[in-house]
Amino acid sequence: MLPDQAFIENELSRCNKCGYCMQSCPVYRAERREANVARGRNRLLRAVLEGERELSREMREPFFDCLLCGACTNDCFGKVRTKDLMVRAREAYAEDFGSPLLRRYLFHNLLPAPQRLTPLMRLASLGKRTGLARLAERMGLLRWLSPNLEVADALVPTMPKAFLRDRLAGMGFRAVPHAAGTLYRWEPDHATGLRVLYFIGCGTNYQLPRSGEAALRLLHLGGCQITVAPNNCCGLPPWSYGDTEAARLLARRNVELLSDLDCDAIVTECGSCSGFLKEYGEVLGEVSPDGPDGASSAAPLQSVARGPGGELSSRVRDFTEVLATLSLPRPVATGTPLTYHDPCHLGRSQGVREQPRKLLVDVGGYELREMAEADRCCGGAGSYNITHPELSRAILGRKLDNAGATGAQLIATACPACILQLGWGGRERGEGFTVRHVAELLAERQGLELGP
Amino acid sequence: MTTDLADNLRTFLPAGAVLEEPLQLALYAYDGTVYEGQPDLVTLPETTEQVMAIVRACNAAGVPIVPRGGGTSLSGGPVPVQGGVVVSFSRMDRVLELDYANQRAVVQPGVINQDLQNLVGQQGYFYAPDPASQSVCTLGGNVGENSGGPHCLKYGVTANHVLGVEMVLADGQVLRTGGKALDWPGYDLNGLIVGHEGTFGLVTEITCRLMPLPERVVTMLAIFGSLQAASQTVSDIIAAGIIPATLEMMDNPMIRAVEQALQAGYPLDAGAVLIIELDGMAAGLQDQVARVRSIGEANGVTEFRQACDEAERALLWKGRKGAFGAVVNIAPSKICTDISVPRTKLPETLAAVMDIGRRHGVPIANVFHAGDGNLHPLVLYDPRDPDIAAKVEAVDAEITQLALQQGGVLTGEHGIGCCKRKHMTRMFGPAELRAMRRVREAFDAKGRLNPGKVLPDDLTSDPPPWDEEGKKPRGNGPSAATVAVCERLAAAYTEGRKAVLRGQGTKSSPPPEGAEVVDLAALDRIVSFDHENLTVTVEAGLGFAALDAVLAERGQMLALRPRFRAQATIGGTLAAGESGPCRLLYGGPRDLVTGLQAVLADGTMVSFGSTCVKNVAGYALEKLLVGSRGTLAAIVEVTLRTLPRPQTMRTLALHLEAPSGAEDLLAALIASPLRPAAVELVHGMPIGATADAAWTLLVGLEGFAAEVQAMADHLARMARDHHLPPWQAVDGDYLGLWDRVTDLAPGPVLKASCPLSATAKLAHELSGLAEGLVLRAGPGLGLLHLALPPATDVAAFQHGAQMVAEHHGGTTSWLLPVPERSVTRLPDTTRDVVLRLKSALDPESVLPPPRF
Ligand SMILES: Cc1cc2nc3c(=O)[nH]c(=O)nc-3n(C[C@H](O)[C@H](O)[C@H](O)COP(=O)(O)OP(=O)(O)OC[C@H]3O[C@@H](n4cnc5c(N)ncnc54)[C@H](O)[C@@H]3O)c2cc1C
Ligand code: SF4
Ligand code: SF4
Repeated sequence: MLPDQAFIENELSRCNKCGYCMQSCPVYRAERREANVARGRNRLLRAVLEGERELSREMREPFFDCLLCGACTNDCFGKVRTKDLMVRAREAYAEDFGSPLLRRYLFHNLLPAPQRLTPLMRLASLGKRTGLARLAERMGLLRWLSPNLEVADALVPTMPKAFLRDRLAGMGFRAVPHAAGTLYRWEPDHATGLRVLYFIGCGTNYQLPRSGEAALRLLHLGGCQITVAPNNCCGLPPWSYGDTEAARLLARRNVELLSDLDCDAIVTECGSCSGFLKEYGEVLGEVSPDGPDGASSAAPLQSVARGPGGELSSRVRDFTEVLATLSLPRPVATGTPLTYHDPCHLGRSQGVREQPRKLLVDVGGYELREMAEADRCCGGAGSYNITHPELSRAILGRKLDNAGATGAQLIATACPACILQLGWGGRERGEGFTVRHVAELLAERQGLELGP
Repeated sequence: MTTDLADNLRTFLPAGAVLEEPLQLALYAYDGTVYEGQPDLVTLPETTEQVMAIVRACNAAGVPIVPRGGGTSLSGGPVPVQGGVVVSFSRMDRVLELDYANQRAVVQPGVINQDLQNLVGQQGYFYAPDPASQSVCTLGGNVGENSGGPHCLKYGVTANHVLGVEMVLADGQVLRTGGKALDWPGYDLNGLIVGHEGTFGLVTEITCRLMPLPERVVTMLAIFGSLQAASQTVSDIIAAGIIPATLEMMDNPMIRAVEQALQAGYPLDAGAVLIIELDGMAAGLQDQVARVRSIGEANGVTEFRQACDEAERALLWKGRKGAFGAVVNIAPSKICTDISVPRTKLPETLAAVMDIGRRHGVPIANVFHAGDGNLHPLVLYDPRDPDIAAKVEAVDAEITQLALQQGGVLTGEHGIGCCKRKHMTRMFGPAELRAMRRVREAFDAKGRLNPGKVLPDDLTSDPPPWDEEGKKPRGNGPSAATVAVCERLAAAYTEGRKAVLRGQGTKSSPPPEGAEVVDLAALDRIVSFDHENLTVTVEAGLGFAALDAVLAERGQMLALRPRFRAQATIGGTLAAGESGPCRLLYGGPRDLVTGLQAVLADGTMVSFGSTCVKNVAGYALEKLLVGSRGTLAAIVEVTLRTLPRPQTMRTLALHLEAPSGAEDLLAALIASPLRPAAVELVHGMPIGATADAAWTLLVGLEGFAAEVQAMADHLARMARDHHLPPWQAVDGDYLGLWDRVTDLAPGPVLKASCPLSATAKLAHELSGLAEGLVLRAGPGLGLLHLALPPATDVAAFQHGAQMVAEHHGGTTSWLLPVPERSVTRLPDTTRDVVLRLKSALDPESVLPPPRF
C-alpha cells in the first residue's frame, strides 16, 4: 500500500515518459540504464500504484539509488517531483520489507534525543574503537556522517574535539534559561536590529563545527543578535530513507521548540537543513504538495505559510541569504582562484545560487571560476556514498573532473555532506583539492579566528 | 530459450550488460509515447564487435532485435512490440574523432546530440540538426528517425548532415557507407538509411558534418493579431529570399498558457507569436533584419521585439522554451503529434486541428516550426480520465488524416514507428509499400530487425482521404507520355527484354543490342508550380532552360546547375545524381528533391516523398532513386524546392601558380562563417584576364547585395592576410562563367571525392597524371572533377587516380556515361547491398546493371 496516494497519482499524471530527466540525473549519466533515471523509477511506481505490479525486493535499486537531488525535476516540463515520490516509495518499501533495526533505533531513539546522541558521538570522537563507539559505527552512525566505511577509520581521529555546541560559551554566547531548555544568546557589538535564531544541524555540530562557528562569527560581525536553541535533527536523514514517521516526529519537535521563539529569521549554514526546514509545511502535510490550489505548480518546492510548520518554513533562511544582506568590509583580492559547488538542497531546492557566489567574491575577495555542471549532485547525498560506493565514486569523479578543469585547487560549497564527500574524493584521487565551507573561507578573509 | 540466449550473451558482454529480470525488462518497454511492448532481454553493448556478436546470437536463436537510443521517440520506434532483444546504445557514447579541418565528427551512436554540440561549440562549430529533445536523444536515434529541429529550416535535417555510418546488418555483416568524403560510388545509401527507424541494421558509428558557427545571431519576436497575418509573414519572409535560422510560431491557446505560467509579456488576445532568428555574417544581417521588420509591418504586426544581447535573447526565447511546461497548467499530460503540410496550408490546417480538438472536447495548443510547415499540435489530457485514451487516439488519427487532405504527410520528423503504421496505407499505394518492403528485405531478409514498425502487415491500400472528398491533391494524374513509359517498361518486363532509359542523351551509353530504349524526353510538362510553397513539380524530360523561364516569372530559380545544363533534362540529372559547384551553398540533387514519381521496371507507377519539405513517412526511396543512374526505375516526375533568385551574384578570381599557394587561404575560408555559393580551383581552363595562369581559384557569391559585399570584403582581408594578390572581379555573365567551369570538357569525367582539407593537394597531384587534363576541385565539398583528354587510357588513368585519392582518404568514380573500362570497385558489403537493392526493385534485371 502506497502512502500519500493522491500526491503520487497527481505527480505521476504529469510524467509522459519524455525522458528529459536523463540529461542531468547523475546516476543515469553514470549508469546509462533506465532503472537509474526518474522516468524508469516513476514508471515502476506507477505500476505499483495501478496494481500492475507488486512492490518487490527488485525495486530496491530503482527506488533507493536515487540521490534525491532534484535535478530531474528541474529538467522536467511537468516538474514531476521524483525525489518526493521516491521518499514515498521508500516508505512503502520499508513498510513491506522492513528496515534495519539499528537504523530505526538511530532515527527513532537517538536523533530525537540529543542527550543520548551527543555522548555517543563524543565517545566516538575520543575513544575511537571502544564499546559504544563501535556500536555507533555499526549503527551506521559514523557512516551516516562520514563519507565511506574505509575512510570512516581515517575520519574518526579527525573528528573534532569540541562540537559546535561546546564552543558557544567560549565564543561569547551566554545561557538564557527557557521552558524548553537552555538557550544561548550572543548580543552584537553594533546592533543592526536583526535577530537570528540559529539552527545547528547534526553534521555541523558533530563533524564540521568550524563551519558553524564561522557562520556564527560572521553573523555576529554583521551585527546580528543570535540565539541558539536545543533543536533536534531537521529530519532529513530519516525522510531520505522513507522513514517519514521519524522525520515528522523530529519536524514537530522542532516546530514546537522554535515556533515560540521570537526572531526575524531561522538560519543555518547547512544547505540541507535549511532546505528541509523550508519544506516543513509540506512534510507535516499542512499544505497540499501540489501547490496552494491543487494545481500542479512549477514553482520551487517551498511551503506556503498555513500551519505552524509552514509558518516556521517561511522564516527559514540559508546563512548565505542572510549574510548577503549584511554589510561587511570588502577585503583585498586574494588572487586565489576557487570554484563553487552548489549543494542540491541549497541551489536547486532553495534557488540560492547567486548569494554564495557573490559573497565569495565580495566578502571573500576570491576569484570565482565557474565549473561546468556546478549544480550537479556530488554523490554525497546523505549516506549515498556508503550505500552505493561505486556509483557514488563515478558521480564524484565527474564532479571533480569538472572542478579540476577550472584550474582552481580550492572548492567552496555550503553543506557538510558535500564537504565530506568532495574532500574524500579529492583525497582518494590524490589530487590537491581543498574543500571548504563558504562560511569558513569568508571568516578567514574577514580576520575572524576560529577554533580547531 | 531466452535463458540460453542470455547465457550466451553474457559470455561476451561486459558484466551487467545483459538484463533479464522482468522488472528491468519492463523499463525497456516504452519510449516517449503511450505504446509499450515487453522485451525478452535487454543488452547494453559498448563496441561494434559486441553488437555483431549480439546479432549473430539472436539470429541463431531466431529472435527479433530492437535497437534503442535514448528512447525518446514519439512514434513508438524503440518499443519492442513483438518482444525480442533490445540493444540499447546508451553505453556506446564515445566521441571517436573530432576532425575540425575536415568539418567532420565521428561518433558512436549513443552520443547525446547536446553533448556533441557542447564539445564542438567550444571550437566554434555546430552540428545543425537540433531536435527539441537534443539534450537527451542520441545521434543513433536521430539517424533512426531522420530528426529535425528548429534550425533545419535553414540547414536541413539529419539526412543532410550524416555522411557515413557503420551498420551491423541483420546477418551480422558490417556495412560501411560514406565517410569523411562527401560522395562515394554506389547508390546513396546514407540517404536511404537515415530514417530507417531501426529496421535496416544496427548503427554503430556515425560520421557527421560540422559547420562553423555563424558570426552573429539576431533574435526577433513578432506578435500578431491573427494566425493568418503571422503565417503570411512567414511566407513573405521566405519568398523574399530570407531563410531564417529558425522560425517558430505559437498560437493563441499556447500564448495564453505561456503567459499564465511565465509572464513572458504576450498579450492574451494575440493570435500568434513568431520567433524569428537570423544568423550569418554580421555585416549583412542588419539589412535582412530591416527587411523582416518591414514584412512584419506590412502584415500588421502589433509588436516587434529584437534582442541585442544574450540576456535579451534568452528573454525572447523564454516563452517558447517554456511552452511544453506551460501547458501542464491546462492538463497534466500531453501527446505531441507531428504532421507536415505545405507551408501555405498552415492557417487552414491549424483551424481544422482546433476544430478536431473542440469536437472531441480535448484541448490543443500549438507551437511549431512554421518555416517548413511542420506542425506539432499538443493534445492535452489527464491520464486519470478513464475515457481519455480512446479520445486522444481518435484526435491523433484525425489530425493525421487532415494532413493528408491538405496535401501533407503522415509525419514530418517523428517517424512512423508503430504509432502511424496503420495510416501508411492511406498515404501510399500497394506498389509503393511493396517497393518499401522489398528495400527493407534487401537489408534484413528475415524481418528480424525492429519488426512491427513502419510498414503495415497488410499492404492493401485504403482509399486516400482526398478520394473520399473527391479531390486530387496532385496534378491531373499521369500524362499520356508517362502512361507510355509504363507500357513500354511493362512490355519489356513481360517479354523478358532489356530496357534503357534516355533523356536528352547527354549521359547515355549506347544501348545494348535489342534493348527497348525508353525515351523520357517527351515528358516535358511543368505539372505544378507552387511559388508560395517554393516547390515545383515537373516531368522528368523537362529541360533546365524551360523550367528556368517559368520560375523566373516569379523571381525564383532551381539551385541545381549540373554539367551541360543547357541540354540536360532534369530527370536525367537527378538520375545521375549530378550537381554543380553551387552544391556548396544549396545542396545536391537529393537535398533539393522532396518527392518523385517513378515507373518501376515492371511498369508500375510509384510515388515517394511529397511537396512538403519535412517528411519522414516511410523509407526515403526518393533518395535511393536520385543518383541510381537509371538502374532501378524510370523517374518520370519530380518535386523540387525552388528558391528566390539572389539579388546579387558575383565571381571573384585569384590566379595561382599551384594550388599549394592557396591552401592556407582555403583552410581559413572553409573554417570561416562565410557562406559562398561556390568555391572551385580550376585547372586547364582559361578564365578572366590572366588566362595563362595554370590554376584559378574561383569564388561565387550569391545573396543580398549587402551580404555579398560583406563576404567580398572579408575575402579581400583574407587574401591580404595570406600574402596573396588581390581578388579580381570576373565581370560578365555569372551563370555563363560557372556553367563553363561546370561543363569542363566533353568526354569522360572522373570524379574524386576526398576529405575537405585534402582537396587542393589531391587536385595538384591528379593534375600531373595526364597532359591536357581539365579539372575543377571544390575544397568546400571535397569533390574534384577531371575531364580526360581524348585518347586517354581511362582504366590506367583511373587506376592511378584511385591510388592517389585513396592515399588522401578519398575515392573515385565516373560521371555518366561510365566508360567501358571503368575500374571502380565497391567494397564487398556495399556491393552486396547495392545488388540486393537492385534486385529488390528490378528483380528481372530489365534495366541496366549499376555501374560507377
Ligand atoms: C519532448 C520531446 C521533444 C522532441 N522534439 C523533437 C524535435 O524537435 N524533432 C524531432 O525530430 N524529434 C523530436 N523528438 C522525438 C525524438 O527525440 C527523436 O525522434 C530522436 O531522434 C529519438 O532519439 P533517441 O535517441 O531517443 O532514439 P530512440 O527513441 O531510442 O529510437 C528512435 C529510433 O531509432 C532506432 N535506433 C536508435 N538507435 C539506433 C541505432 N544505433 N541503430 C539503429 N537504429 C537505432 C530505434 O529503433 C527507433 O526506431 C522529441 C521527443 C520528445 C520526447
Ligand atoms: S519525470 Fe519528467 S522529465 Fe522524466 S520522463 Fe517524466 S515527464 Fe519526462
Ligand atoms: S532526484 Fe536526482 S538522482 Fe534521483 S532521479 Fe532525479 S536526478 Fe536522478
